[in-house]
Amino acid sequence: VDSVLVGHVRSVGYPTLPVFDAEALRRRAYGDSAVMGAIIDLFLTHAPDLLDAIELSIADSNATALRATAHTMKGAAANLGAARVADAAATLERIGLDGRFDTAIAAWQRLVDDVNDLFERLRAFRAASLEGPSTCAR
Amino acid sequence: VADDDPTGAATLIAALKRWGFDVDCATDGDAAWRMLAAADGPTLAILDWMMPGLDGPEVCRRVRADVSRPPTYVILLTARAERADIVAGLDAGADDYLVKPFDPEELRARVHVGRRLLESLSREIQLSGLLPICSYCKRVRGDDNYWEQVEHYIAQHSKAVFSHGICPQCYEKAIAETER
Repeated sequence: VDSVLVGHVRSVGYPTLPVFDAEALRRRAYGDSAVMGAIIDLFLTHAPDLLDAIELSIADSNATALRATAHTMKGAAANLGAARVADAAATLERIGLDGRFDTAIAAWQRLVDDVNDLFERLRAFRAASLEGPSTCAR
Repeated sequence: VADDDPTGAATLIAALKRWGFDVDCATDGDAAWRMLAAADGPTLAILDWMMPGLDGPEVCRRVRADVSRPPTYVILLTARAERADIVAGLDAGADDYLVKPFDPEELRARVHVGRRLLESLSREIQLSGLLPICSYCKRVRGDDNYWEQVEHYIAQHSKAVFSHGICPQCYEKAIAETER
């Protein structure tokens, strides 16, 4: 059953979406490594709160809150160049818009997995490519 | 800048500062409106659509409804990419609409369109506002507090070009003085 549900919450282009496109972020930050580091740190700090808010909205079957929180996650991930997380969040945003929660848990699990992958990539990138210590940890 | 996503706001603020703007930031729609409604509030705003409190389009509507405020250029920058959203955003009073994630060069160009329009409108407003004029010599007091010829002032503040001639009354007067 889980594999069927997961199939429903992944878009057609999902396998080709990058976990983290560092070049996209670099371009938006005009190559400024301090700005890139600050943006990554902000995401590492705020994403867990967003995940909590999304989880709570699913637990409460609150479609309006799910739509809003998933939308914010989608925008934050897209800004970072994290297309997979943005895609996973977009799926949850649509669930919120439709108000149909039957695939919400599977979509939520996919988002958590993708965020964890992203966190690993961001920390590795930060350590290898950007100056200064990360200002946050999870 | 009004955006409840701190990563998006930080990216935007860094870019705007690079382009020479002074930037204020709000993290919800109510704060954005308070900022815009202040006496010396910003005249160029980049608003997210979905924020806590007032949403971006509602802030746009309030900006447009306030006829006493100076001209204000509003860009909606949002992850809502449906055509219906774009139409609704522009109908609410946004001057421009961009979909997240923004392309930095496109945003820079669009922000400069806004700045250019505001500068142009600002010049027109100077020309239509209260202008002190000397009752005797008809010089006007310009922006730098110096008295100058009215045609010089108008030429500086509009696209008007003066061609020199003589009106019938002055012609009669000039002829009479010549004959005397």
